[in-house]
Amino acid sequence: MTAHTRTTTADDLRRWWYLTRLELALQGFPAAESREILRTLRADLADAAADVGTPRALRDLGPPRHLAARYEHERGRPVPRVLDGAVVALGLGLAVVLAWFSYALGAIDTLSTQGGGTIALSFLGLPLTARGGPDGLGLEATLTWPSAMLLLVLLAAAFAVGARLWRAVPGLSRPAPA
Amino acid sequence: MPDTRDPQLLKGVLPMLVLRLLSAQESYGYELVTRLREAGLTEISTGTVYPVLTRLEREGLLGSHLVPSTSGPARKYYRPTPEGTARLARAVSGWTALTDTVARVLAAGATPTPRTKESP
Repeated sequence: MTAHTRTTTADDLRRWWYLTRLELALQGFPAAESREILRTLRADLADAAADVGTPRALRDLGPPRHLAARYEHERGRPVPRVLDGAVVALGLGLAVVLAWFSYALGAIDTLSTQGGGTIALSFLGLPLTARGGPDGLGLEATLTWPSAMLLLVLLAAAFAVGARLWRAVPGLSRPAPA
Repeated sequence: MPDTRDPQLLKGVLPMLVLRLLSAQESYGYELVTRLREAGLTEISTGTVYPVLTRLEREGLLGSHLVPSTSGPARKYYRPTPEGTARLARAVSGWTALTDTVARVLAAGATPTPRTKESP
């Protein structure tokens, strides 16, 4: 470690980007543990970059997801992936909203083509009144307790599956893959 | 020279090698990797060693302290705790026993032994 490679701003940015991706990949680790890993790695990466250059130092660490998997493996058991769960729940939430609008617009369109009128419907337990005709279009919905609970349960289930929450239960989690 | 080492085998003994090198001289992560490479593990990567250091520290086998560095953030120097030293002694003893056994089996396998006739 006698050679010193000059690092540029671009190198600093590459290292920062790598550590940001690693931080995301370490989701589910206790915050203090994740912070300590990143703090230590930042110092070691600076030393490696000064010795062999940033590109080689980063290549040596491997892709952030693989490195995070190694930390997880050494930790002994996998951790829930909270961010993945949030993304899956958000995706499902958006899909439900889109489906709800499609359903309501389809109902209004049907009413319009049949000369107009008003119809009371229900979508995922959510009461819905659609109005369509020459006088104009209308849509009314009331969020009821059952429909709110159903939506909440669906989102919670999506989050649990996406985050693989069972990993938090010692008896149910298998050792993390290497 | 082709590298014929089994990566799984290396993973198994890496904690022992890390404890051994650090018991000889405390080091920070990157320095330890270079020491391992200089010792002959030329293919070992930083991405393999750092998670092992983190685990050994979490298990209380390594202690650490920060030392300011001119090249960037403070370096984290590791050294074995008394528990780590005891674990190293057990690991070396186990490894020596295993290599002795393996050497005996390999030597015996090289010279075929006559098969005894089985009675019906």
